[in-house]
Amino acid sequence: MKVIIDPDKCCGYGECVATAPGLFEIGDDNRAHLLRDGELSGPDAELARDASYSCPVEAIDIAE
Amino acid sequence: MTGRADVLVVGGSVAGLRTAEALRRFSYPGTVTIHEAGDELPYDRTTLSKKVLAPDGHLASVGLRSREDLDALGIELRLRSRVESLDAARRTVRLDDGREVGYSTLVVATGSSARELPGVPRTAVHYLRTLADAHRLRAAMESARRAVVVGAGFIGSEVAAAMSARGIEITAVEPAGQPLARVLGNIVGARLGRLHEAGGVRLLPGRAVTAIRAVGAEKQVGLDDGTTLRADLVVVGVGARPNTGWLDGSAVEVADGVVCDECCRAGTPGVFAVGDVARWPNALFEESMRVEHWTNAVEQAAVVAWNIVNPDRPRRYAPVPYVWSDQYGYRLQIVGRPRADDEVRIVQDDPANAVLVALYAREGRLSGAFALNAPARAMALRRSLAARASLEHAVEVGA
Repeated sequence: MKVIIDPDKCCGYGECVATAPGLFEIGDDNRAHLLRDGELSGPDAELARDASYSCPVEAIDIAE
Repeated sequence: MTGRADVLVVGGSVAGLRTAEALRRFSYPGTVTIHEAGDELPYDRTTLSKKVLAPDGHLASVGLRSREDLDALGIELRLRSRVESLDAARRTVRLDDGREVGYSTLVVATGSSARELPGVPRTAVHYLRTLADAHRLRAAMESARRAVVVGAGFIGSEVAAAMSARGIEITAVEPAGQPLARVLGNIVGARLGRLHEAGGVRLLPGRAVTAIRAVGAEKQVGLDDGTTLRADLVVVGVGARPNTGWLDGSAVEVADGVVCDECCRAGTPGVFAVGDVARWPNALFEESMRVEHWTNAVEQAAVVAWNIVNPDRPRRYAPVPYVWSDQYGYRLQIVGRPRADDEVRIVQDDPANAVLVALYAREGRLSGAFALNAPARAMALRRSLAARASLEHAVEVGA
């Protein structure tokens, strides 16, 4: 699966960083960014789903 | 008995909705029904005092889910269906139309209501809690020239910021002192006060309201120093109280919220509580809390759903509370449980760029943090709080 952050929706609230600190960070633009690109699987994929679920503005899409 | 649900959720706002959705995420196979007293599909309450009131606010953009979304998940949402009472022994609730509905698991997600000022006629003031409140306030703001905001907590501060963007002349009255001083103390509060003043808001910190009345179209706000403020519009934001009246006389224990254990289970078999209405012991802070933030509703919902699906291996709910607020184009974030009487350490202060980071500590341990326009820092401090960091450690990490 792949993670896509919608930059128009993201407000930088940081729930994804709290949920999955190994996958997301808040950048200098005060928006969330992925720490690494590419396919995720196993526990990382589950964390990414949790982050998507916890986003206050539903800015994180999961492409299976 | 005229109905039955395996999981019956009382309250269709974000906490109830997210619990129902998380049940499906955890592959819960049973029936899930939400009873909501209001007549709106679930909507995002956090936008009511922000986006919805902004001059270019879009009233249509607050909905969280459509009927189709809920149908696809097999979640039944019944609107205009108020649950009036609970018979926990029979695992049955009674609805306002007299019907009874049985359940295996009950999720109390009835949220909270705006605290009202005693003795003040409802027609003289606006409260902001529901979408209908936001519509009414927005309409009143269209023609208002002068407004008084009573209470400079989150709602009062955000409403003042929204009205300031419309050029309305605003006076804000806060008996506790500076904005958000009840939580953050007066050092940080004074800095927030300056943001309001830069936005054209006149602050009256430390003043209390003695009376509010409507005289024709004019609203008159009497203060404890004998003066009277005159306005077209008065908005009151003086906190919220949990909606637990329907549990009076039931077996469920209520003490400023539904009393739960560390796993969000009320003492009554088969009953959970989630969101604003839930009180539980947070092991991370060793403190009984009830939290009215969006993030709490969503995070707690996931734990409640997990514990319904996995009763033999329940999870404790021990989060770092987190709330954000957007005012005057600035981002305010509070993590943890700061208190006005905590030790306060300012670790970053850049007034020119409106950046401020303050740490709060009790007995040497980090208890909370406030960040103005420093979101990456706020998240780092949230992690420090989750790790039970000392104040000194947090200063090192963040400085």
